[in-house]
Amino acid sequence: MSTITVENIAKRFGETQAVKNVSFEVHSGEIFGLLGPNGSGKTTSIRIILDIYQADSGKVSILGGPMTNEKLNHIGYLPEERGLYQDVQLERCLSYFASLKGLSEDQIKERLPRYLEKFDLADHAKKKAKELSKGMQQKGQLIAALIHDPEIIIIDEPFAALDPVNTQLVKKLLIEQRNAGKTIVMSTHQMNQVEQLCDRLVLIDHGRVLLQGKLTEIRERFRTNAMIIDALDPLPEQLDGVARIEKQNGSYCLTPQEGVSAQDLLSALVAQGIKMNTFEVAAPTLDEIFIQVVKEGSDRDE
Amino acid sequence: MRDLLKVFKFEFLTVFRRRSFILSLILVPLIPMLLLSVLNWINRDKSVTFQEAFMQEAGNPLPIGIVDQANVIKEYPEWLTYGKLIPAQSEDEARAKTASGAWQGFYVIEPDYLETGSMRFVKPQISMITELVQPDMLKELLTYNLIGADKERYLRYTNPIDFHYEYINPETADTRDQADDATFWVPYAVTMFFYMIILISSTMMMNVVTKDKENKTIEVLLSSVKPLDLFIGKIMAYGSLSLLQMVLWFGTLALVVKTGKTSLPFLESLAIPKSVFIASVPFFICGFLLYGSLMAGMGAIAPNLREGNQSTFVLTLPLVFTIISIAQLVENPFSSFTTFLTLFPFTSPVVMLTRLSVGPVPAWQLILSIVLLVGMVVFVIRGVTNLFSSQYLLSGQKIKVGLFLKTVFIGHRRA
Repeated sequence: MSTITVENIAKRFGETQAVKNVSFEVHSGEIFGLLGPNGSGKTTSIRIILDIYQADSGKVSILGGPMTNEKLNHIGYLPEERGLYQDVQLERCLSYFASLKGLSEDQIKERLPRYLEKFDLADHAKKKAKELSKGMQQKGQLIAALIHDPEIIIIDEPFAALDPVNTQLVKKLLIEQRNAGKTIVMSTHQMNQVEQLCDRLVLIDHGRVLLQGKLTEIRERFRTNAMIIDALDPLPEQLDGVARIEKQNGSYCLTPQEGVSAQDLLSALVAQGIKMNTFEVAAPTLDEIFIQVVKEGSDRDE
Repeated sequence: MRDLLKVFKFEFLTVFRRRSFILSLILVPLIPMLLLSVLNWINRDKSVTFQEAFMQEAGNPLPIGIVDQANVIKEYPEWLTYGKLIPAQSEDEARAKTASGAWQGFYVIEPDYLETGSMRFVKPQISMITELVQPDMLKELLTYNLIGADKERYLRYTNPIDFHYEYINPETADTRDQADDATFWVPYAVTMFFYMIILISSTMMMNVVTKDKENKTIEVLLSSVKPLDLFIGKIMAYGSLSLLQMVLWFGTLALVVKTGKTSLPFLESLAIPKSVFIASVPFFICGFLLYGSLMAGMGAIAPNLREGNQSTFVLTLPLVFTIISIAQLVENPFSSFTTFLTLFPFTSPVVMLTRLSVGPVPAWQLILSIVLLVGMVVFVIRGVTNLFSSQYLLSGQKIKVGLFLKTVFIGHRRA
């Protein structure tokens, strides 16, 4: 069931068309990747979803209808431009943000210590934000986005400024939230995190959707028929059934001739006495897909 | 509404708990009160004036003898000499007492004094205090005796005219005592005080809005609170804090004027009219809302505090104008110019209080002034809400003062 439905939204700032006919759906119990280069319209789309900006045209449906003040309390938001009150104690700052999300004082007293403990910030609760490291502040901001137990979590670059230990902590937390049936929209440039976490994604550039779908389907769609082999001995310059041989980081990328399947190629290599440790389909990384799609989009524009 | 109150509570307590705010709130009134207490302690005997205390505590000079060879001094009244000028029978006696250290010196009024005014002062060394005080005292003593040693006549001689004015139209007449310095001191002080406090408190509004941008908390807030609730919550919080500050500081000023008369004689004839106290609350609140809203609007479009501060001069020009015109306002409180500034909403929060500290203001001016001011406050707040939109708050563009004024006063459509 979709908890966020975005239909043909558009937004213009002066001469700049920030978002143009963007549509996508996000379902409960999934982590949805909102991807795109800098200035592509991701943040504007998020702000329209949150009703911070009004779309010039198009429609957004949240939890089955238009946004209301009540629904805002069911959304946890970690913006890219995030911060804490630098001269205010962390505990007091987070209590304020939690109260704005509709939590009562008793609920805050019960939940905040738990979250501070979970994020290893309990000893720093009385410190002012300016006395905390960047990573600690980032964790504090994550608490602000999660403390009211929102149904929808929208997070922009959640791993920026986190060390590997805390990155793992946040990943685990996001997976827990997904398993609990929450809807998560994650915007990031870290494609490895998208590959590990996202179920579906949309790629936006110049304010329009270039690509969307399930991660597995997208990778399948961009899969080539090339093979990667880790050969024990150097390969000869030509092989039967192989159109092109490229060396890649100690491995070989083989492009089969027209009509030659992976099975046929493997048989041909064995028959030619090639010894190898691995033989695998050369599936493109999300990084490569991202660059390819964005480049194609730019070429089309030109 | 609930969000608005949460914003109000957070902003109010954040500033109220700040050490610098508490110090300024307490120390500004505490320092003059402490100084006054010290002076009052010095003058704990209420009958002793500051001049007397100066004589007694600072110098406590020895008496000076007078050898009156012209026989002009008949009486040495205590209320005039405080026992510091003492008659001597002869110059020898005076020399002996000076030599023994009982007197600090003596005056000799020569036999031909009435014709020549000739007099000698015999003394072993110079004393700054007696040099300052005693010659005046001697002059007063001689004057008193020369006009017949009659206290009433002497007092009339030193203050020959006590005018009582009668005005055909008291509402528009300047009924002040032009000879009394206090006539001008109180309006000057009131004008300066309200100029400063409105300026300081409204500038705080810009600081707090730009701080949300600099702290990057604005987007988190906007994902929970409507921009208008944020604006109203903040202006309510800072308005309450400023009102608290104004009441405490102005109350202290009034208390110093009231209780400091024993120790500070120049306060004797000063009085802040009750009407100033009554009018100060509504005019201050409206003044703060007017300038605080404009400053908050400037903060909303400014990318940072530095750029915001650079553009506030235009907004504070009317207030600065009241200070430039302060002499004109105080000297001519009933002129057309002053009346105009009393009614003009951007100057009335200060000028009305200046006028009231001078004397009564016609009722129609008082009513018209507050109506125009409230109307302008509503108009400006409505205009500023155009600037308190997410698009302005989240953008970091350069300030265009023209666009700002157009948006506030003409209701320019949001970009």
